[in-house]
Amino acid sequence: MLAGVWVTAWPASAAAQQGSIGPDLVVGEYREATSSMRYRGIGPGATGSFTFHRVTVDGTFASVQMDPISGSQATESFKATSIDAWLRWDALDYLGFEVGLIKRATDSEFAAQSVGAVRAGARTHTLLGPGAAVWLRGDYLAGAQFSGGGSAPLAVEIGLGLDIRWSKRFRAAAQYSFQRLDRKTNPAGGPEVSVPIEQSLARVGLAVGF
Amino acid sequence: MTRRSLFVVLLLWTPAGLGAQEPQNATLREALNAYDNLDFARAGTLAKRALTERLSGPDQARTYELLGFTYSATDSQAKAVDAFKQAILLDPDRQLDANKVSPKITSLFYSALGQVLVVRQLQVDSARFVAGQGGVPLRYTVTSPARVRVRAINGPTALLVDSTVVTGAVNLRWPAQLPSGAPVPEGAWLIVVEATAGQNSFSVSRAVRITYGAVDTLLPLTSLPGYQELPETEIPPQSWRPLGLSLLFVAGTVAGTFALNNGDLGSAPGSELAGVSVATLATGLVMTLRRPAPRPAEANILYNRLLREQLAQRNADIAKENAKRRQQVALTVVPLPKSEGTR
Repeated sequence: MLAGVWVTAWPASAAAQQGSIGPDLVVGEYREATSSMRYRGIGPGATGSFTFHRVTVDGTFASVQMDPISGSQATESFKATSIDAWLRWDALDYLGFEVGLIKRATDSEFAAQSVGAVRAGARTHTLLGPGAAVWLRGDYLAGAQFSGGGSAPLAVEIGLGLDIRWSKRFRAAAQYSFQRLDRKTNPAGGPEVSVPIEQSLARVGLAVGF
Repeated sequence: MTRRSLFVVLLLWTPAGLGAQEPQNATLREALNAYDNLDFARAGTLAKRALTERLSGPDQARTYELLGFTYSATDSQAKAVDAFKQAILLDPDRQLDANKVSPKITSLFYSALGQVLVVRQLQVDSARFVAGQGGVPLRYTVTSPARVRVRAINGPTALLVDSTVVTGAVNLRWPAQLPSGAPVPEGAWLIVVEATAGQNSFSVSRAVRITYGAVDTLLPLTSLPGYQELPETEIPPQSWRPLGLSLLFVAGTVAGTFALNNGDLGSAPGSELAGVSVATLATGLVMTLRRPAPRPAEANILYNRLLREQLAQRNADIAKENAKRRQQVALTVVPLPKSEGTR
């Protein structure tokens, strides 16, 4: 089984200082340029999280082997390795503001774009019951840079997460994220061309708290 | 009223106490028999003869009282009063039962009482009190206006309890304290009441025993009477809130995903979103259906905290009071058998 590490950030009010780490499984879909360029893949991930009072640092890692789906005009597979980081301040018990980084690299520049950007947004969370919490995130991805050049005046990300605390040490989590980057480029100095990119990832896994 | 009927009335109203106790002196016994037989002349003669003989104190007082009764029966009022005065001086606490003795004799007795200076019916009640916080109740009656000094005496120690000019019944409380404020020493004490009016004086005393004891302390409280602590957690009512919240978050994500989806890239991705959304909704449903976990009952916690603070305060007060009581002395005062008065 492809395994990774995934760390979930528990609501900051749960304790003054805590962290967690754990493996998970990542599945994703990647689309670029047109609806016929679609990839789907699976791979391991890794995340680290640490909370100190109202400040939380989250980081995730994923390495997903993307393969063209049936019917796609894409012909070449690629491996997408992504690192995401968030620094969040919980202003309220249910709302936090965050900034962070995104870095996604591909092993085939011809198949997909590598991208890097900074993010800023907010995250709201609430308890569903004893040991269960759900959160919703919305970030703007600013200053996106692509391996093939161009820029993305509109680049956003939305995410949904579920954290379940089985015991004091062990937790389970599920997370969904959707990124849209409206990349625009003008190859060879010609007219500007729109080359949009979308990626959705879902991950499930376990985490160990400390 | 004829002389014979007067005798019958006097006989019927004779005090029961006159023949209640057998006197030691034979002449006095004979005089009492003569009085019982309505032979007042012989009773008077025998009573006078008895006075010339050796009599005990009680017999002497009884002889004068009999003379008083006899003179009353023979209308010798001045002599009757004199006889009663002698009886009163010998036995100041002597009383006539107004329900059994004729009003004529009673009035002569009280007339005699007003003409002598005695202190009657000195009573010292049993008492137990904390030194400095109570007193020994004293009661006495002075028959004529006089300066009365009440003292408490124990060996060389003599404490003035009261000094005043009074007549009639007097009630006092003796705090049983030395001038320094310390409790009087343990032991036998004599309460002496001295009445002085001109050349006349009379004193009577009563012995009491004073013992020390520990002052009772208070037990600490384990709870406040009438109040009990409330449970600090409560089970909240079943709620659809978890499912509603999960629906809200999932709906927000789905709406956001579809809103952000670029139509040029085809329809929005579904499987990843669906998987996490189903997991979130399932968790919300489970949390809705499961028994709610107890939650802190803030009002009860505050109430219990207040209750414990009150209890702690009360126990602190009790501890302070007990510390004070352990330094105190409880005095127990018990009257001893009565002593005779002196003129």
